Amino acid sequence: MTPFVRCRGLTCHLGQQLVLDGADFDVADGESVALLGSSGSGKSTLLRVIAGLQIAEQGEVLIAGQQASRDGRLLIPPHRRGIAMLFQDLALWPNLTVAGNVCLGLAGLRLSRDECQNRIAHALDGCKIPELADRRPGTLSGGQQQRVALARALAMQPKLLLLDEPFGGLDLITKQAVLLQIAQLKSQLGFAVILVTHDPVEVRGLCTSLAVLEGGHIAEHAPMDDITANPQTALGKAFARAMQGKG
Amino acid sequence: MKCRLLTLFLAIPFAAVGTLGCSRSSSPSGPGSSGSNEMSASGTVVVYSSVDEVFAQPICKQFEQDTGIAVELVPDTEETKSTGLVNRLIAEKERPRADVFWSGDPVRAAILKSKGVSAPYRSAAADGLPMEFSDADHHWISFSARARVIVYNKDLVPDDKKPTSIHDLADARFKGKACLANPLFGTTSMHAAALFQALGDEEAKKFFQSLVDNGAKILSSNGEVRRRVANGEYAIGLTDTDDVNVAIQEGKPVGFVYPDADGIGTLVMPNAVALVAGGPNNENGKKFIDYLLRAETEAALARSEAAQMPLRSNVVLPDGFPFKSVAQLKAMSVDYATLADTLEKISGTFLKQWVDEHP
Amino acid sequence: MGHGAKRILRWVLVGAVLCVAIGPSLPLVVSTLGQESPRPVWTDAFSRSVQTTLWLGVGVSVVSLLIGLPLGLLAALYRFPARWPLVLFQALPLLLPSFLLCIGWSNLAAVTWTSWLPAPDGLAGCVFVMGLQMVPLPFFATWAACHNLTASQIDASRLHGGDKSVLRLSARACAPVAIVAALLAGTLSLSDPGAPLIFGCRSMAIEILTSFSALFDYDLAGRQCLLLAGWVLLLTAPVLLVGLRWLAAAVLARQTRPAVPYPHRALSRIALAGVLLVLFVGIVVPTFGLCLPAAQNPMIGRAAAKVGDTASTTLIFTGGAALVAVLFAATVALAASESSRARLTSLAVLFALLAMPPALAAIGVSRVATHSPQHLDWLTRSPLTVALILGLRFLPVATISMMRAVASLSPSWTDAARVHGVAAPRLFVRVILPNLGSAITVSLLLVTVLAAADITTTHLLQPPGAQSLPVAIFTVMANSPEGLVASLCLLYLLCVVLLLAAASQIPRLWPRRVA
Repeated sequence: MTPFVRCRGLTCHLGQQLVLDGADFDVADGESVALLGSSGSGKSTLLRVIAGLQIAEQGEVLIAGQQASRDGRLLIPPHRRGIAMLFQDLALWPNLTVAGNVCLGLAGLRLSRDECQNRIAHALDGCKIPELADRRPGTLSGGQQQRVALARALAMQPKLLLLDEPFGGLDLITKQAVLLQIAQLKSQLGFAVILVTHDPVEVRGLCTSLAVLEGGHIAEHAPMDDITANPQTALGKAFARAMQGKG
Repeated sequence: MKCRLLTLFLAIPFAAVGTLGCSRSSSPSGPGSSGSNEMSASGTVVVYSSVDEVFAQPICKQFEQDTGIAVELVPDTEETKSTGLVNRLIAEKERPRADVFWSGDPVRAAILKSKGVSAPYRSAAADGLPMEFSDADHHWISFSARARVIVYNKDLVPDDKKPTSIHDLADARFKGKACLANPLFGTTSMHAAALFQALGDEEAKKFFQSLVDNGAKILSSNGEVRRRVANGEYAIGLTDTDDVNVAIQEGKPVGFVYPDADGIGTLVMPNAVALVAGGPNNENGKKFIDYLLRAETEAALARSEAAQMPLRSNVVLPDGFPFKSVAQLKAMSVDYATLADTLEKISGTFLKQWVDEHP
Repeated sequence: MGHGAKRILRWVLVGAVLCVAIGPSLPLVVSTLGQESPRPVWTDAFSRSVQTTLWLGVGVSVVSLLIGLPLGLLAALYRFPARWPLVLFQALPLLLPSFLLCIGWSNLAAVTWTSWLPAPDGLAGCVFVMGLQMVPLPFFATWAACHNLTASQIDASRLHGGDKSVLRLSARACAPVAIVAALLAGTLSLSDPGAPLIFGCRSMAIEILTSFSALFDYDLAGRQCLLLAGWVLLLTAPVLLVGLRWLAAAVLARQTRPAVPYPHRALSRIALAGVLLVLFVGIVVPTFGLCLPAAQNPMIGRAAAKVGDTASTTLIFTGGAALVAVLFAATVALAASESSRARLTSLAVLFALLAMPPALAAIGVSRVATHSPQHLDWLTRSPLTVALILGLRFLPVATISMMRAVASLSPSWTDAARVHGVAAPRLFVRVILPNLGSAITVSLLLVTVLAAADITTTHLLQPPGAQSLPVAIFTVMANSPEGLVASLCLLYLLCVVLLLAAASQIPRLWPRRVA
């Protein structure tokens, strides 16, 4: 079966530094993969390349079997890839209300007014924040802001949700609640997830497979059970121990 | 994304440009439209005036009432407060916006003649005006005059000690208490040029040096001289008759004298009017000049707060006119036609140096 | 759009705006460079005026910074009564040309009951009056920069070291932009002959005015202007090089709360006292001196008629100038947002332009207009021309403010917009523009008042029959009754105060970021 995302030979620099060096990476439909790597290893860059926010100088990205970018050329713009993203800083538009953020987030779909309103209501309900519709992000708690960002992303009904360390600063209970929310919505809507994280709790709460980015390429990518049983990389081993509660 | 936003910004200025460019000025014949010149040819005249607006405006309004021709008056600021209308006229020379230049002194009009801005016009209304004050080639005609006077503060200077000559500005009794406007600008520059003609180069230079030695202060304008003598900061100053008259009308404690009545005399400074070459409303410009040069206009200017002295001897002065007539004055003997040349010669050399070295 | 294409577009746009800004001054400069002049530029007097000018510029920058930076911090960080209107009123000193402020001070000096006050005179007097007049520039720059601090940053520093720590943190964050604004204030003072003429101090501005208006030597004036531009570039470029690095401080898009004014008992009182004192000394006192004659002979009716005649023209000139400046400034700020080299180049060129006397551009435009075909008169000889040239003249003021604001926009917002397919115009209208709101407001306000005070440009370019109120004041002041001039100034100020008071209600229309 064709994976939803197929990356081949991605090479990307950030300034002078080579962050991706011929990376290959596949994500199947409905897969939830945790993307691990040390700081500066290129995790966020890989996500941005998949989203189309950054273009790899070499290599190709295929989304649902279609070439989305190739060798420095953007072939499918970000908003037509069926991908939504939760940014590290959430990127909520501060002057718009919660409903306004979700509504503007549907701009690329060109929905009718009624459809738009339905999606907004559905998204806010799904994230359990309908009462926050008229509030502005600056007046919300961290967890509430997370849910707003999630609602904005899911209103698009994406096939793939990219999560770039979005849970920083949340307390454990709130984080678990949000993860549970995403997991429930995922099972309802069937989208794939790529989660960039350092936190085993987040991985355990959401992901079924694990990929390790090391030296600019994917060193390891396997289902969670396989990694736990037989990790190949140092980071994979550390995670396996953490997942088993061995510290 | 930011770069794409920029293209949006390029559209907005054009929209604003279109809106502002189409906005009309407050006058009936806004200069912004291409049709304005055709409209104005029948009913407008554009007058640039270095005569103070409070004095020029009533004359212009009367002209509008009497002729039906609308006057767009562009008044000038005090000489040091901005670059001035003369520069504007020179810059606009190839396609002028003005029809007439009404100058408060003949030197500015002569400068415009030398720059090729003015055109000769022999007005029939100039009959009766003494030609020694005007340009022989009819580029500018003089009428209604002011005079250079010494203003003094009556509270600081008793009557028996009042100045009688410009040399009193260098007298010890007024040490540090005399002032004059910057001699590079305005009527003071004309006065400086006239002194060089009347006294000769050496005597004139000595006079200016004596001012420095006596601590005379250079101020920014005649108006400031009037103001600061009136409020007692200075005891005496060189200024014009219209400045003095305004101070007297306001009840300030000032008096004035015509300097050197027994010597070189007082400088008479007539208004001068010139037709701008190639102006958009040439015929109306001539009509305006004709109007200005009438005896009635001289009489009106004599009655105004400017209290300007008619050049025509047969114009009757109003009751209570504060100044002598031109005939009654001991007028300084100057060649008005060459004053501008004299000024040009001394401005960049002696006067500039004198001002630079003056504390 | 590829990276290379973006870079080209960036430099094309920056270059285009700079060319438009420089354009009006070019005709005289070009003709100057092509001529042999009989008069040497470098004379003893001129070299003395260069020294005086440099001291004047430095003095004005220092005075305006020393007052504007702490005052801006206090006004931004602490709550006090009538805060917003008082902040807006801080722009008032820029409204009056320095000539009028100096006349006001010298009128006061002549009054017996103020004779104990030292009368401003000479270079010190110029620095005093012009320094106070220019306080609004670093004040507003600081105030706007404070708005980019988050509540978390303020709270953290307050916890660690009290309000002393808050002020220190904020001062360090705002200092770069305040220093650039103070530099701009000093530069602006270089082209103003007003105070130097009244207080007897020979600056380069007076030398240039003399060349234009007494000697009619445009070539000499042009060369003097080029020298002045060279000095300004030499002195400002190093400061800009260092300061610009800190101008571009983007704020993380995860703002939990922006900082709100704090009701600190003592500091709130100091803030209130500070803003009132600056208003009092900077504008109320000299205006009182200017308007003293009105007490003896008020001519309010006549003055009101004049104000009525000139109001619409004044608004067109000044409001138009503000719009032009903000549009071009935003273009430069957005185009240069990702390149420090582009920012430095833009600011260096614009600073050099600001130091030029306004006559240079105005006469240049006049010459171009004269040689242009009549069908272009709508561009070269209309009220639009005045608005355009005034706007370009004060472009640097708006550019500093817009650059700071654009730099504080989070790049994540545009990333999110790209992912969600939000078109650029829509993002601009819904997100970018509202978040640039305070910078746009400050820029519009500052350029409006600065444009109003520029007599020379307006006087040289205004179409016949269209007179602005400030020019009208200067054309009547020679021989009008002092009461009329005083009444005109008073009404002028009152109208602006009313407009500012009305403008202080505008924030209620902007969405509040914090409840």
